[in-house]
Amino acid sequence: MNFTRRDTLKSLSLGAGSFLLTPFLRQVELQAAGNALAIPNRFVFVVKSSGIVPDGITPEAFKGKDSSSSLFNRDLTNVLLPSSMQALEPFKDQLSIVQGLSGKMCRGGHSSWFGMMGVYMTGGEFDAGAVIRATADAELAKLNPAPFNHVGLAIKGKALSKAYGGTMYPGITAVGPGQELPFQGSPDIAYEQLFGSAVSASKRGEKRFRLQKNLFDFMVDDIKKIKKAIPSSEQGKMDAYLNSFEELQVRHSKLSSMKDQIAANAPGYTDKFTSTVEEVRQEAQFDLASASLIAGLTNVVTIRLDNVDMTYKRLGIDKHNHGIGHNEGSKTQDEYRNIIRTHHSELLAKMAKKLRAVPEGDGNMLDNTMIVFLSDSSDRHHGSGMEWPYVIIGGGGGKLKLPGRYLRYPKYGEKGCRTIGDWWTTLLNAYGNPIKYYGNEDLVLKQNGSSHAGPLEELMV
Amino acid sequence: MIKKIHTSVLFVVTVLTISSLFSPNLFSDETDKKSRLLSKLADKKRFDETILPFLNEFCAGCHSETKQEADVVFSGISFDLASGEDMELWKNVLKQLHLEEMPPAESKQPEQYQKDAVMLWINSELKKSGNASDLYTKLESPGFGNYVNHEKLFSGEIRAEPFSLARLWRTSPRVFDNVKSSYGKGSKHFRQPFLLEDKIGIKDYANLLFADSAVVSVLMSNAASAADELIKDSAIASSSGSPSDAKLDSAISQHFRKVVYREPRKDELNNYSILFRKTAEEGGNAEAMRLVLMAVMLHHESVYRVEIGLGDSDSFGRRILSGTEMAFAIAYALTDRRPDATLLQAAATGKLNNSKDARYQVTRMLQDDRIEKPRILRFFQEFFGYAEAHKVFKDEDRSGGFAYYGENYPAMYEKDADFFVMNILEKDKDVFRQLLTSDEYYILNRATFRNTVYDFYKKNKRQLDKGQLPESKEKELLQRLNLKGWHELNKKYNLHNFNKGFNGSVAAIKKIVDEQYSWMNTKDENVLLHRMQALYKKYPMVYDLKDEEQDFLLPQPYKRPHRAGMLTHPAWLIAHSLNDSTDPIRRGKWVREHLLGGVIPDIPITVDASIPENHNKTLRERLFKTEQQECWRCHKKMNPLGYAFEMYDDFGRYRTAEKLTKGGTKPVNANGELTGTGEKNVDGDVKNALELIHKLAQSDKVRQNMIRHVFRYFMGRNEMLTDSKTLIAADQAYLENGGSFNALLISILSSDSFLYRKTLEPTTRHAP
Repeated sequence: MNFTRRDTLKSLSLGAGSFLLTPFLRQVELQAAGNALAIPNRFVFVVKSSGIVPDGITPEAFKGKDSSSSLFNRDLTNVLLPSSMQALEPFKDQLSIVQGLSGKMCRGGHSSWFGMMGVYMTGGEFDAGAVIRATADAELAKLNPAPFNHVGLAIKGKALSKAYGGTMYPGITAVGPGQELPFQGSPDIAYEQLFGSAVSASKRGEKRFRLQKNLFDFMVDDIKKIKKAIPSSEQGKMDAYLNSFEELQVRHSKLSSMKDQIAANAPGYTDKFTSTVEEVRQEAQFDLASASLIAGLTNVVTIRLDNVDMTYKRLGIDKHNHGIGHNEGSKTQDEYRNIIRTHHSELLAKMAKKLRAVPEGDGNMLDNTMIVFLSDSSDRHHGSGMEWPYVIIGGGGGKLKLPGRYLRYPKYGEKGCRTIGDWWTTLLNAYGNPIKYYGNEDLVLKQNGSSHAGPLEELMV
Repeated sequence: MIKKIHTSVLFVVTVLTISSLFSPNLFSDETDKKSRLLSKLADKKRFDETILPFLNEFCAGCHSETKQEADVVFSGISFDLASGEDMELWKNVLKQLHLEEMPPAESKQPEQYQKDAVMLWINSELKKSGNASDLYTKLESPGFGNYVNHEKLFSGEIRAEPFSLARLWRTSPRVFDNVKSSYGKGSKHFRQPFLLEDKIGIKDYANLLFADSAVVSVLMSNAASAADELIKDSAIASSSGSPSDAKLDSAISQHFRKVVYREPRKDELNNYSILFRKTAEEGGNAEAMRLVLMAVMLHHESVYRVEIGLGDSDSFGRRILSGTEMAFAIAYALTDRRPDATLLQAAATGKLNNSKDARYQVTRMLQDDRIEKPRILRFFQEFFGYAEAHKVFKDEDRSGGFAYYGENYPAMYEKDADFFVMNILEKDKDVFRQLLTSDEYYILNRATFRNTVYDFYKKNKRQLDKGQLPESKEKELLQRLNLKGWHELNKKYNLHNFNKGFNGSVAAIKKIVDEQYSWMNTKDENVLLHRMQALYKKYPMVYDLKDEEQDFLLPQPYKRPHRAGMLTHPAWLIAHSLNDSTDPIRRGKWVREHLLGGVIPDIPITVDASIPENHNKTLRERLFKTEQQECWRCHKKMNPLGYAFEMYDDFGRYRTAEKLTKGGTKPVNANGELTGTGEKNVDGDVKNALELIHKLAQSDKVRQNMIRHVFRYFMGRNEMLTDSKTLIAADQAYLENGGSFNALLISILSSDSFLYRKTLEPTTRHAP
């Protein structure tokens, strides 16, 4: 790459509004120059459907405590978690539960779609609607680049969809306006995509990775030849195209150089990755997520855990989540939800345990990770947006006063009430994006004069 | 300052890293390095002799230590741009001079050659420091087109022969949608690689769109999923032996024709073949074929259309587009599809070589209403910006019933506005004036179509029950629905999926009648004909109609009082409003820039652009803040135009009083002032938007400005002074044909600006 071309690209990107250098390439550059970033911040967003009922994740000791008019902020480490969350007891010092944040600027019903992490109203019953901005998980991925900048793993697709496996677009994460993050719904394919450069389930995967270099080299050569026939005033456009393939070459060589590290941390390939049992597929996707973080392949993973159409048969449940949400079936909705929550807690605990076992800096990888468990339809099956509960596991690099806390914000409309826009603003601020406010404001709160529209001060370090 | 240093560090790092990762031949050699070092020395001599005296003479009066207007001070400014000092200030000077924003009109003006010398110096110093001003890129965006002097452009004094620069233009997302099926079965998993920026205004602009890494990552995954499917049917992929050259070439050519849309050249075939052989040796035929197919799909011509001008050159240093280039240019100007058979045939047989040929083809396509030409309506959507209404979220409670669930009211108002535009275009008379002033609106929803068909059935029940529908009757129904034929149905109406196949047959009419009976569960004629679903009840409110006041039945339009054309259409008013209020400033800015050809500089970064809260004042009263002296310099170009629209609330409803935020009302003040046409009977005070709009509609300058925007959209670039002849001819064509938009289009799409190309070095494009 010559000096002038970089120069041209840089000036072009000013006007084109596009990022011609991916964050990853920029990081590679920094590292190569000896400016390696400190330990990266890592995030896992686990998105469940059908709502998280606030009462279900509230410790017995904190139930019935009035918090309508002021923030209820308590130490979580010396109370018992609900029995369905028992698996998380060993991680209580790094666990936090946040309740009471409203999200009325998002769509209610079966799914808020991109609203949950993008903070705006979008979509209909079956359609995810317009993508107007990068969702907060993707914004965090941009701040923490890696060979795979943002990994999306899904068990199911759109809220009510029956689609199964392959590339999926569940309508929850966007990397930019109009650009949805693709999710991989087949653990075996995800395995190949993430670890195929070093180990592979099939010989084909490994071979494909190796051969891909031929394509990148061909494209780079080809575009260089063509460039000669293009008027010099238009070369910038071909340079942008050329530069993109050169970036792919760089990633390819970076992954090749990480081969041993990737191979050492790849999960052992078992029939888990080709299972058609939903609960097993969930386990497989969680294994892939943990292993990718540990291998340094990515720093941000979003997992689409289930959808409204899915049935937890292996757990002995006879109704799909939609039926449960509509009080069908032989058990009560609460009983069903307890069974499912127990299973989810176990998945989360297993991931936390894996990360805790990896030493990093003065502590371990869990200290520098934030696993955020949330729902795409706020507080219940047909989300009201009145409150959006979060369960967080991990130390998050000590950037927020969260680990070991239980927080409940004042009710919607009460003085001091806060929104999920404030929540994501807090995360972005804590991890390097000093944005004043992320997302759409709640106009009703704004008119009542009770919108703060900024980070949650009590969480900032 | 910190940011600046950071950028330059990163820049050096970029070069270092890339050099360690790539082959050395990419890098500048020793001599190059030396010359770069030498050239880094700032040109202090010129600074002392030319630049400093200029600053002292023309700028220091207001921007000195003693009088720091707008916080800008030139005393002690650093000449050493390479050091990064005062870089932003210098960039600002460059911009102000280039755009003639400074010195202000009332001050002493420098001669052009003096300004040129300063701009030249800044540009060359910027270049030495490895920086560039974003000014020149910005100048190519539609918002900056107005900087080209209007009076000169239309004066007739410019005799230059028009041309466009030889260029690449990134594939449009709609063309991609229409061609992707030619990539085979795998295309059902395709994602859109060619996204356009989501903003109000003209979006598809040749010089602003690049195939960058975001585009390539989508292209790669598309190509992979297409190739995965294609190799399943490939004889070569499933064979193990080495295929013959002929067999391989034929397979590649077949694929190439489908996706690149021409025959591959010999050297291209040869390159693909080398890629295949090399890869097959390492990984077998299937993987090799997969990569070759992907490489073809990533061919640069499916990413950029190339308009170099491959035809004959003339004595003015221009080259005309070749027949094929012309066929693509015309097709992509009007449609979202590749050229039709007639265009390709003309290109192949040498009948698409000049302006006359182009005129013939464009006329043919405009006259044939079976050819869909979505690009025409899209111009009006992007020019007026009304199609963005659905993105402005309005509070349901405050509006008194705006619905966003199920169907989204603002999105439906946009369809009404489309209908309004399409009907004016069909008449093709006095188009711009009609768009600006017509008070005949269409108010439609999905029930409109069904209720109208039901009404038609009731009126012709005897015949229809016998299964008869004479041609004259069918015509009557078409006329009521404002259609030339059933093929237009889905272009004009947003119907339920199960009504989309309606073809005007007796059976289709009866199906709708049955639906009416079963859904409404009644035989009450009044209900069947006029009742709307509860969802639509509040729909007419933005047209100042009560819930029950109208029944949506066709034929329409509705003549509405207090309205004049698109700028008072609810879709436009909503699109140009804020979440919870109107938006006089941006509305004024829109009128200033789109109709009056004015320019308004970016808001200075030092300004806090928030509107003060005050529960006892109207928005206009609260905007008084912008009428302070330092703000008014720019705001006087916007506010007096935008205030006129205060006669509507932010949902687009006519009002005489404004609701205050904490209860109570105050009378609306919609007085404004129109300035800047330079036409005596047009400029002056106006009492509201209606008067403003009727005055605008009389203005020659307004008409010419709309034509300038038509030019920008269809050319995909800003006009240059050398386009003068094209614009004057277009204006004349429009006027001579009674305000025909078609005549205007034919003129532009057969102009030299559209058909001729010239190659210029980038440095001579804008640099002073």
